[in-house]
Amino acid sequence: MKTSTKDLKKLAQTYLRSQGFYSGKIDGIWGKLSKKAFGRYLSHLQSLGMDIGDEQSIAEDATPTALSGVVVLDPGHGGNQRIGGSSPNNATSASGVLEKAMTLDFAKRIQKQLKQIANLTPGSDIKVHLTRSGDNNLGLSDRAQVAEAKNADVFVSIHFNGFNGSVRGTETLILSKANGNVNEAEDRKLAERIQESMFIAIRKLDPAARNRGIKDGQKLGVLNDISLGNVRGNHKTRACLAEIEFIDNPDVDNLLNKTADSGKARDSIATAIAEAIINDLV
Amino acid sequence: MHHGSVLRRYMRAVRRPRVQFHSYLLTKCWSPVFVLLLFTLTACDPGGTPGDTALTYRSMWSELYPATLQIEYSTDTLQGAFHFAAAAQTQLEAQHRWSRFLAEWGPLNGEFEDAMHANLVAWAKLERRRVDVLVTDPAELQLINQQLRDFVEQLE
Repeated sequence: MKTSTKDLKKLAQTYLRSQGFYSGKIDGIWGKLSKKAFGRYLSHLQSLGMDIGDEQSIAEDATPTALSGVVVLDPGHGGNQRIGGSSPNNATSASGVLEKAMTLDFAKRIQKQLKQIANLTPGSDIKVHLTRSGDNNLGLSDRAQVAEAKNADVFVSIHFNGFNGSVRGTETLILSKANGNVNEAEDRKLAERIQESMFIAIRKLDPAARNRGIKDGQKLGVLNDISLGNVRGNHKTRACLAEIEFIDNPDVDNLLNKTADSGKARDSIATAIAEAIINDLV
Repeated sequence: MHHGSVLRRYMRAVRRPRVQFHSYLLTKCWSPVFVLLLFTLTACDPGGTPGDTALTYRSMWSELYPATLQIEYSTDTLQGAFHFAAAAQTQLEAQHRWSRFLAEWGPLNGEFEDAMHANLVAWAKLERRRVDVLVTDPAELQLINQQLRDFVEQLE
């Protein structure tokens, strides 16, 4: 792997470590451990049926130029009152952890990862905003309007799902053209990136993970293009809503909330989402 | 006095047969009447007879996922309000509860909050329709039951 700077090597090591392929130091030295980790990563991509080309082309593809952009992350729910179509909480984990706490935790982890990646890439300027940073609620349109106010390139609403305690899977929601989306193709591309990245990260943690794909059947307040500030001919913000997993499923609850490795599991999913956002900004 | 006693006699004459009929029913026929009444109640369709909204009801949700109804959520949450409606025991309760759920938790301006919100509201709409056709329209009932099963299949 030909990388030109130590920072790029650090970036690659960070990514490989977040995905569980590398356990060495983030020192920018591309030694035996790093090479082996990279080999394992390539084998993993091949096992998923991905056409990975050769190492040289991967290295070239992966070489980041300076990154810039504005990202707004929206941790779903919050507070204790329903406001503007937004409930304080919807899903509850099998052990009683509230969705609103998990969405905030994940948003903060994604924010941290985005900043870390930006710091490792010279000349980068990525601004990351959260619609809420504490236990408070905002209406659905107010959340979307943060994206407009911050002139966001990417808006990702973070949620967890719940149903009957046994269903599981990860899915990403967008608005369809029929429901008033003026930049559906761009939103779909962002959603596909996030969905694929998120699913791979979760399947790595638990082979029972299920890819539920992209859903566009529902009209979602937080993705309303008028609130986001997108109009025909001027639609800067790409937006989607990530339903990371069904937290009322005990297996998911174990994975994300109950074991000693739950923090690491959360980190690797957050990193995967951050990577997907970065790829969308490039 | 004379008129009064005639009137009293007349009243006794008019009342007697009714009193006698009631006592006859209570003393001689109570057991067959009771058995007949019990038979009618137990033999009829669990869904009840058309228009009889006080009869037994079981939501499709409680048929499929009874365990979830044992988890206690506050009824001022989406999940709690949904489970409260799904646990209705009579058709009348079910009509009220599903209607109230949809009125309180339906999407604001037609816009949902997230996937869970959309799923539970979609399910509730089917359950609400199901209550109305439970005994009156078997064909429609079959159709709604199938839609709920398709819903589950698509999710699982």
